[in-house]
Amino acid sequence: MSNRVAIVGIGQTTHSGRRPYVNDGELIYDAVTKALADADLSINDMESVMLGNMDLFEGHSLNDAMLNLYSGAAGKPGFKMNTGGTVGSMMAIQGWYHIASGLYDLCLVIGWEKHDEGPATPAISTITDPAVDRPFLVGAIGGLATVSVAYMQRSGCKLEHAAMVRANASQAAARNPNAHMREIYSVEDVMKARMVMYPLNLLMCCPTSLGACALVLASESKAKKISKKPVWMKDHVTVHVEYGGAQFGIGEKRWTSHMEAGAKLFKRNNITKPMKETQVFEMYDPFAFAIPMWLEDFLICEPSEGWKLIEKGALKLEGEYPVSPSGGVLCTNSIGDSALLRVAEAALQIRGDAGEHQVTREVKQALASGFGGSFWSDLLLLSKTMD
Amino acid sequence: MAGRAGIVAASMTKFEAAKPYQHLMDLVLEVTDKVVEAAGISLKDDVEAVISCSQDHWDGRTISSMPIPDIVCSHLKDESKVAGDGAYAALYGAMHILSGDNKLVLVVSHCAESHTDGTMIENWSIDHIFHRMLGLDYTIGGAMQARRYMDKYKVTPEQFAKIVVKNKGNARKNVYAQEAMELTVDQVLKSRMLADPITELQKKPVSDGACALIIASEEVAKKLTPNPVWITGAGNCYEFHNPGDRDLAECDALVKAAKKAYKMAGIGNPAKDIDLVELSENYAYQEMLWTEGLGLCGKGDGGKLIDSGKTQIKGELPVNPSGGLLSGIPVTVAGMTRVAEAVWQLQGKAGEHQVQGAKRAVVHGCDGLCGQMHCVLVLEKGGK
Amino acid sequence: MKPKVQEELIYLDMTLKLPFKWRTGETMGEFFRELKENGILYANQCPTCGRAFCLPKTVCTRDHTRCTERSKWIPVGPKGTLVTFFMAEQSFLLPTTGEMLKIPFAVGIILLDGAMVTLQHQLEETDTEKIKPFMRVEAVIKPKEERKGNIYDIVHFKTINE
Repeated sequence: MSNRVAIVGIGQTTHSGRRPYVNDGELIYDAVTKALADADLSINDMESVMLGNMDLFEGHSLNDAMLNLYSGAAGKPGFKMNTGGTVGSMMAIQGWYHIASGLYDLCLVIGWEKHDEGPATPAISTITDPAVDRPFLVGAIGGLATVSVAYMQRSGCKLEHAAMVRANASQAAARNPNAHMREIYSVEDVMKARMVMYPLNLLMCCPTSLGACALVLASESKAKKISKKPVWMKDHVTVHVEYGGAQFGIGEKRWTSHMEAGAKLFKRNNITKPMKETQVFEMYDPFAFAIPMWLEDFLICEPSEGWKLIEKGALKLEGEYPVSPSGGVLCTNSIGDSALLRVAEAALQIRGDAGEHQVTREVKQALASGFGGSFWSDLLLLSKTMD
Repeated sequence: MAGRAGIVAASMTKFEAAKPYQHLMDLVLEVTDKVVEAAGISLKDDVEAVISCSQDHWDGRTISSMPIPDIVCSHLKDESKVAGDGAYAALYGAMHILSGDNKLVLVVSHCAESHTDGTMIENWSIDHIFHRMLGLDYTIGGAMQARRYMDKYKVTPEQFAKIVVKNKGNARKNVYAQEAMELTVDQVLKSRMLADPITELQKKPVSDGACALIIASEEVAKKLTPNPVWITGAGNCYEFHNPGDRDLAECDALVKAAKKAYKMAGIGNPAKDIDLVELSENYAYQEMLWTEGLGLCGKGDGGKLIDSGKTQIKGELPVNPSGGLLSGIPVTVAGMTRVAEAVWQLQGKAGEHQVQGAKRAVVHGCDGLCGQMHCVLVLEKGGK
Repeated sequence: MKPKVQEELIYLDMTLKLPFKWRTGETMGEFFRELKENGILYANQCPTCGRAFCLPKTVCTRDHTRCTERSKWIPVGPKGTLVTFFMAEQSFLLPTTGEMLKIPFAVGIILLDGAMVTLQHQLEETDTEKIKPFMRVEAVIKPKEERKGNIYDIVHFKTINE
């Protein structure tokens, strides 16, 4: 039986496209300070400090060591992981392993990115094999555009539905003081935006943001002592799917990493009606088709039902099943912290501390996801109570 | 904590200055197949999660673990990547087991230093605002550290050279080693000067290769092998980044990491309680400094320790009987090969460089300018 | 101390360049040799599950069987089906060359006839109205004297009416 793990401190910077007078270390320090203040602890209480981001985006190798004065890791144990879009959720999961293993009681996990300092899209393009497909992948957007086309073809979802998703997200982000793009857009505004990568126009792609997020994680015994509102990390799964076959359903039933992740997590936790048994989902949604498509893929709704839920307005902040009430990755994407923000925002919803973007229904259990590389999925289940 | 985490099997490639006929993933495949065979398991059915270890800059690839799941049969399974030294990945693998989440994991690391120019990557790990444009790399930083070490503790270049003679000499018995040489102190000192006092033979050569481990829960490990190797202690720690924020003649982070690992393993007197050490010396002086940090001798006594002959393969406390990093092991893979070597020693499978009767080994992984991060693991055979 | 005006006090401009020499390995090397010498696209077949991979794989991703047995390689394509696509209408910096991408740039995920996994390559057609999932495409391969044994030996995929 694993030691139980709780989130006892949550901190994030405000997110933006540029923050001229802040360097990357100071950015991290900002999030760390806020998380520690939220937990009412000091950096000296932390037994291990973990930092995650994407090395090639800023061009720093071993940046966990380079920035350890700011992260608070200097003179302390720590780890660095790097798994693409899932790096944030992987930081939370890594913290979970540190504590669940019994080796640590209090850990600080940090995700960060400073997108204005390096070229993100060329860096992402290097995820593929240099000999064969690197010349033909144009950043993450290229890959996401291909799955969007396939989804429209498969489900009957239209560009207008993606525009609706983006318009909803803009309204949510407007209520989140930490979000990057907080302008409110109508469906028409979104449809009129400049095409970047067909079928995704500028507003249907996530922005390049800078920001950091930090969580303080604690073991059961510590959490009960130090926190009035611990949020329990009840379960997590990580799944990868082979490249180029199953996710397009070639010669077999279409089965993606999200599908496997949803199936595993719900089965292990006896969840049969995810939209009832969890009350909010902070999804890693880096493009406008993600919410409808991936709600289907996580087995939360039926195939081809995702865009219909958008039409009904069911996924809005005050709707029947709020998805990404923070505005999601669509409005804030500093990759190294994007997936950790999902966990942080889901935890805030459970605590009831999300402020203006707190959802209207009572939240007992929440989902948070990460998506990275070409096909990795992290799915986490957070809970107000331990069991 | 769910029992103990046991290392069932280990594997590595032969280390070479370049492997022109192999794709980077062919290295991963080679060690994966070897370790799975050695453990007598099925990669598809028995391995629950894979922890890989590599760094984006060295692979020239964002998310350097991108191609790995396909190679290690991770379709619809868990794969994650530690971006740091291989010893950290081994520790993370142990956490997967100790948490009770997994019963058996594969840990694999790879790097082909020959693909690119490592000094640039070393330079990019240095604070970009103040120090990077000075052109520091690990060798220049190492020279600063070696010099400060010589000034403070009066150790000598001859003592550094003795480390090289020992390690490259030990490598002659290790079939996986890249550079096995019979050398004299004089030859080491007279090889090409890189950054005073570091000469070419005192630096780890450019190397390509990979390493893998199978780590399992106590119950599973005992079923798979009569001699599992238990991870009984673990500690890791960061050093202050800026060389000016610390005394380079000390390795405080290593001291902290070692103390934590020893406390967990119940080691009171490391010089007596340990049978064997495999550590990560990127430069000859580092072995002396790290032996001090690991508490194998007193502060400033690293020179005396090598002079005493205790750390020779037939001495009381063999250090790097495999030939160490000086015989050629790539970055990131380095710490994991220390673990693998110690596992083989404790299982009695080390071959010609076998240390007789070893029961408890300490392994050490590190990375960065002048040793930025250290990870210490205590490995033991037998016990409860 | 924060400056009064929120302006950058100073920037440090740096360009990081790193030369690489990647090894293709035996499997991919063989694929490129066939492409260069004979202009044929090959898929390698898994002896266990029978799936044919183009682009070739050293091991099967599902059952970990080695797929290097040369007699099991089968020619695939050059015709195939477009599974899905994207089209870049904004230019980006290319990491492979350091140059800007020439737009419009359409890329298809293509299943070659006879293969069981997809490959990604450029499409000749750049009018999104004319590109439809499941349409038929064919690889345009360079004449022998121009082939170098790399992925650019395939110029692009053209639309065919079938």
